[in-house]
Amino acid sequence: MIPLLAAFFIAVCGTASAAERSTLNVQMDDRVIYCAATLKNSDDIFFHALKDGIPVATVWSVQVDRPREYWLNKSIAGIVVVRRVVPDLLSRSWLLEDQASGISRRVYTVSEVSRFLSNLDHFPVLDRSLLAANTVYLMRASVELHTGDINDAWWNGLMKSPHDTMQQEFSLP
Amino acid sequence: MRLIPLLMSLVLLTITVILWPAAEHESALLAWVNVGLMLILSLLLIQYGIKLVRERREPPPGSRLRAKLVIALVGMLLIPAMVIQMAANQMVERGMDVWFDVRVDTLLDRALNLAQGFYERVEIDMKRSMVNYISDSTLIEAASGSLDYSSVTTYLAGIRGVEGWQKAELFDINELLVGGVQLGELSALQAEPLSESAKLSMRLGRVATELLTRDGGEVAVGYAPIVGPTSVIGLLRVEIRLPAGVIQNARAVESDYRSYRQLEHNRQNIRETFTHVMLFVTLLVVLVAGLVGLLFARRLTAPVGDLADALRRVTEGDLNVAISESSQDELGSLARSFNTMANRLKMNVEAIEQAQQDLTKALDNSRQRQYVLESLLANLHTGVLLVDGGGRVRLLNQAVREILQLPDNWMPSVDILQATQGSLHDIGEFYGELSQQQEDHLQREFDIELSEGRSLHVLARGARLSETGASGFSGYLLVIDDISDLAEAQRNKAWAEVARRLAHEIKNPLTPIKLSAERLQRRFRSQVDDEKVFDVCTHAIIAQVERLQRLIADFSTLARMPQPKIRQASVASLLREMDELFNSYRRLDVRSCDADWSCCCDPDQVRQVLINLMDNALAATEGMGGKAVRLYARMSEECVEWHVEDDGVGIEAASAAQLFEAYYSTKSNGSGLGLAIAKRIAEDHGGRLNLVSAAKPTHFCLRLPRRVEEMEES
Repeated sequence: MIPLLAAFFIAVCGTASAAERSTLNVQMDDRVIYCAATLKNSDDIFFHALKDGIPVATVWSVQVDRPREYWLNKSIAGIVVVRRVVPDLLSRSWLLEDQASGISRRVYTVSEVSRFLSNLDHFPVLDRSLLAANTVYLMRASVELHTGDINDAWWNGLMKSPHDTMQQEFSLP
Repeated sequence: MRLIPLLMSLVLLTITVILWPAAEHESALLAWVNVGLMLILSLLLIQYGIKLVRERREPPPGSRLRAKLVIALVGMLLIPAMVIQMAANQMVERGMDVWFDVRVDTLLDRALNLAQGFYERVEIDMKRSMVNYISDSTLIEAASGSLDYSSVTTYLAGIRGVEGWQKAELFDINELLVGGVQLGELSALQAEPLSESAKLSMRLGRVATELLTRDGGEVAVGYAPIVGPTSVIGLLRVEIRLPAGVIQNARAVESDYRSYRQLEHNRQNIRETFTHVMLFVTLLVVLVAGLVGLLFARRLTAPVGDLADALRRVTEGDLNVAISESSQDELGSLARSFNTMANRLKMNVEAIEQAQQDLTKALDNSRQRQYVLESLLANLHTGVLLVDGGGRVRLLNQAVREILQLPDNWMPSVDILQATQGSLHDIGEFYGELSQQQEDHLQREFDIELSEGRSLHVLARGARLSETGASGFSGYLLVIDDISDLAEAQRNKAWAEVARRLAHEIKNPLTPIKLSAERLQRRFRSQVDDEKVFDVCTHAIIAQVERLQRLIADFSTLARMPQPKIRQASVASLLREMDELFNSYRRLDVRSCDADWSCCCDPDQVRQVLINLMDNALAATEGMGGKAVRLYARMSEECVEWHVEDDGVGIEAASAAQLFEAYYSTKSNGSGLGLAIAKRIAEDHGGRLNLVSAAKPTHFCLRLPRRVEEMEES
């Protein structure tokens, strides 16, 4: 009986602690290295602000490094993607803005908003020619969440800690 | 007082912990700046507190006063600043409660609902009107290409006018414009491509609307699929320009609602930002106040510190101090007074030091003189006694102790008249005579009987010391010399002179007298009547002449005692000779000794001494039996002793003192020179002849040194 209870307790605890984790996958074709990242456990924060008409933005920082054993990693490439959602309370729609490309569109479903903010699908990061074969690289993605207007003051970045970070090692075949 | 900085730092650290910023804090930078400031202040206070606690010696002058002033100033500022901050926090709290009142919240919700209702109404009306044209036969014909363009536009213009649309366009299934009309002039010759919503509407066969923002304002766009007999064959797109005034108000409501909600979301952050701003200002004020207070306190306490430092230096003996008198206030007056006092003190100290040097020099001279005097007195062989006017001994040297064999109670301050009772009464009488007489000087010679029957012949000289202005002492100085040896030498010399004269005057007629007596006996004995009487008389003359001759010979010996011929002599041999010489006396016991015993002496003179002692002992024991006379020897490392003991009647005490004097004899036929000569021989050898005991037994001891060096030293 006791082993069964212990197994149940462990299973419950395991389930409770197994919160979904953000993921980062490295994709590549003949010329470009892409990343596919998914941010988990952030919808509540988004929708709590969007419900009250407050703009929400996610700032993705994707960094590719070459790990070094006895020194700081060598930075190969880095890119920052800012995605912002401005709710339109009157028409009950959301304006999705990709500030890197300047493209914006209006959507009328929450799922699109969520996917827009928390997903980077097949996002190009760097040219494959910058990487050497048979070398291990590390791709790291950190996400900052902003509600309201983004404060671009320099000191604001000093104390801001990322909401989530994820990383993935890869090497060219 | 010492713990105040530590307590303040503890309070500050507690506040720091309470106000520690959260990670998601919006005003984190300001919060961290405050935390940093408070930590710096805490560390400064802790460092100062630890320094105060560990400080054992006296801190620098003025530092405590400076610290008190700074603490007081900061405290005076800190308390009102904290009160103001608490009041401001309360005001902000209350203000935010008012700002975010539920009535405002409800009002904004309702305003937003109104704005949203306008949009919904536009959308609903558009949808309702467009539903009627989904299956419109004319539009179906037009979308299927059965009508010409002018008929289509005419029809579209008709329904636009009926429905009140600003623009109406018809597309076929291939999204190509079939026809379109617009209120007023055409904005563009070519129609805009269909949006995603339009395509979705056509694909799903459902009426849809969307809101677009254009240069002229906001436009509500509706899409209605044109459904043929079997499927969707076209799309009707219509536009309604929303009224600008309503839209503006609606957007303003939305903007206000958004701002309000954003503020509401940041309500906690606003409060914390305000708190941190206030705290930052307070900390800045405290820091500035502390710095200003420190500068002010330093300026105020510098003269006090200088004064305290100068006082400390004066206390330590450094009188070369002068402090600045620059200020004209009370502190300047105090500095001037201090400088005056220090100058006077310096002059007084210099005068005292000069006097001390003079005194020290005089004391050194006095000590030097005293040392010279004490050394002189200690090395003198003449006894010195200094007696004050009251008759108390003030000073006596070692020589007087040795000469007079003074007992231990003779110390300075002893009364001389009481201390000279007994054998030293002559000294007391001499002092009495000196103190009583008118003259300042007195000289006397007298004999002093010491212990063990020894007598001294001393020369005493006295002087009265009158009081002079410098010394202030009056008394008597007694100088005592032991002149026993000198007197004895003089006596011996006198006796030698007497002996020489007697021998010269008496010796010459004795021989003719003796020869004449012998001639009378030979020539006239037969002629006299009474031969017996004649023999007695002539024998008496001859015997007395012979006695006189022996007496003269002894005197000659005493007068011209030959120098001893020192050589190594055997002690046992001398004893054996004595035994052989006196072996006829049965009462004599000569005890032999080791044959190795020897000493350096003139054996003839030593033999003479021993014979003299043996003669005296045998004479004293005439008629006694047993071993009444004993002769034996003893040897030590330094000397050889011959002991002669007899059990005779002994020697009276009065005679014992004069026993060794020349011409003193207790025997009727003695010359009185035997023991004197024996003593002279002993002294010529560097030894001594002593009467060890006067009776029972009568014991003489002849002690001679064993070696020549010891003899010379003696």
